[in-house]
Amino acid sequence: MKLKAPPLLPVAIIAALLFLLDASYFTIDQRAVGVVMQFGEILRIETEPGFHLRIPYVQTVRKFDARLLPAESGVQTITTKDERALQVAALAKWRIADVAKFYRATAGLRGTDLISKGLERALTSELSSHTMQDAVAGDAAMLAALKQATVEETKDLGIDIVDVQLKTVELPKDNEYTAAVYDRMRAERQRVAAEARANGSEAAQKIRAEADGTAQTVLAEAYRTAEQLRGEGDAKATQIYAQAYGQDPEFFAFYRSLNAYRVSFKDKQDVLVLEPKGQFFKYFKDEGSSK
Amino acid sequence: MAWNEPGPGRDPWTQGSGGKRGDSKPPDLGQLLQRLKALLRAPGGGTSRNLLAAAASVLVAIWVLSGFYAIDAKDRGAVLQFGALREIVDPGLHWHIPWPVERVERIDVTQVRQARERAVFITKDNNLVDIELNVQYHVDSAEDFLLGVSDPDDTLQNALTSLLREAAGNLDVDALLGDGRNSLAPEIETALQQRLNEYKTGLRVTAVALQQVQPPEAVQAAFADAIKAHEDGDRLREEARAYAEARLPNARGEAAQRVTEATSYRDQAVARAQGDVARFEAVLEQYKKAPKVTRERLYLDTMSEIYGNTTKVLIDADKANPVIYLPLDQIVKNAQAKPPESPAEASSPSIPAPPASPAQPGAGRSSGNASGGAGNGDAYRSRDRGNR
Repeated sequence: MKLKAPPLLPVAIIAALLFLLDASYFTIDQRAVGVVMQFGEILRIETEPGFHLRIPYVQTVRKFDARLLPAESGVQTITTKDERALQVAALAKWRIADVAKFYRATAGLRGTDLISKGLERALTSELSSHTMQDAVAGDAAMLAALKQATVEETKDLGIDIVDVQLKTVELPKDNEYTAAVYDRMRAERQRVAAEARANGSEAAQKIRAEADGTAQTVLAEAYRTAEQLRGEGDAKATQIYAQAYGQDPEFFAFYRSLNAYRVSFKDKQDVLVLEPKGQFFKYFKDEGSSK
Repeated sequence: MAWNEPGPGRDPWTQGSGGKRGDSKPPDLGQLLQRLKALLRAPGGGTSRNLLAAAASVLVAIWVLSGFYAIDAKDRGAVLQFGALREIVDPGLHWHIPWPVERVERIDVTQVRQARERAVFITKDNNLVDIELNVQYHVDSAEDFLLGVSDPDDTLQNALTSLLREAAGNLDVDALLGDGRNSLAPEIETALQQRLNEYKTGLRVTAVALQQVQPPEAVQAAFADAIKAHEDGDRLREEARAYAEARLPNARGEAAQRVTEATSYRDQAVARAQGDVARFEAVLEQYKKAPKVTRERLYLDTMSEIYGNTTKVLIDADKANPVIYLPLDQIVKNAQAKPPESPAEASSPSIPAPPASPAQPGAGRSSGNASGGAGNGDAYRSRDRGNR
């Protein structure tokens, strides 16, 4: 069996028909919107996803992403209201609201770039009228104002700005500046440390002083009691002596004096230089019979 | 919606698929081939025509078979008909109208996705803090994931960055490094989920874990020292408390001792007084019997004891000659060098009777002593009550 080569003409016709068929329809993705153009003019906007017909080679279709899209600003160095230098970058979430307007404004090419530029302008102007703290903490009013400014800057682009957030808020990447911040942090910590130690030491001293005070009071009270007791003892003893010695004061004086002498001169280290006189030596040089 | 789901009016083949979102079902292949054959045969038979018909049948069969697809257990399938989302299908075997009408996009919904954020953030009090945070999430709604935002994962990452920065910017460094760190992760989780919902990302956050919050490396030593300082302060306090705990009991003990000593002193003083008085009275009684003699005897006894014990220099010189050299130092030294003599003396009288009677003054003394009695002997003992 011989298979004849298909005639050239029918094949060409079939191919042409297929091309024509292919060119006579287009699809719109669920995530996109289409602009149907005719000789460079916008004929209609196709937002319905699915299968659509067109006139081949006369009508062309441009498609745009209809989802929520990001646009990022470059990092801007700004000076805040309270004279602080900051490096900030913002991120806007946007989506196409008016495709025709968007297409005309952006020529369908530089959409994201234009939004980024608008975002940068809004960021620079808006943040300079807010404090550093607002930027750092993502203050709600500041973000709302920033979003509003971005909407103003991009109002000709046919888009909705859904949300603007600050993506970066940093200190300038300047070594001196960062070093200064670190120095301040260090100094602050040193203050905290010194304070903590001083507080501890203060509390400790107070506790010790209180304890010492109480202890000394206790001891003083004990001293009082002790002296009272001694006094009592001495008084009682004095009374006892007085009673007894009162019986013969003269003899007591004599008796007591003897005792005192004995106590005062009791060993070889006590040197007495004497004259042989007095009662003791009465008979020392003379037996006394001559008297 | 699954193609084989039972129910009235669900059979697309008998009803015709008409709408873009209608359900699809594989056509009856045999029937289709029959129709095709009939169509091809109509104008007149021939082997080449038969061959062509067979080839066409095979092509059609391949086309139809190419519509079968399987969705893995971890995925969901989004069936797009000319780009329009027709349905989201669950795992299993499915069929779609083949190219160029429908196609399937697979979305991984069970895989745990991770995002990580680590940066140095500015705190409310203008300090810098190094924070690292991990987020786990997965696709919750395949439809939202597909249609919501152009870049769901990047969206989450960016939202995380700005939320974390804001959270850090709303807290002081001490709060961040202290109590605040515990509430940070839950706060971020709530806020992040809320923002993801606002954007319709179709993502669900399952876990937010704070990996670390620490001061930047350049100032870590200072922060560590500040923490140590608090410990030091506490230590000083504790040491002082320990001191106080011991101080008071010690003082009470000392106080008790002093009072006890004083009580003892009082008792001793009284007892001594009574003792002295008893002795004095005893002597007095005897003295009254013979005052003159006793008096003289007491005096001589005492003096003899004193002279016996001490070093003495007796000078019996004319008062007109005042220059006498007395080498007192030498005398004292000699007295000290002599000790062997005195202990021998002290130990010799083993007799219990009057120990105070000195040996030196002479034998004549001893007779007087004997008459004095034992009571007198005692009287010569030195008393130390005066030294208190």
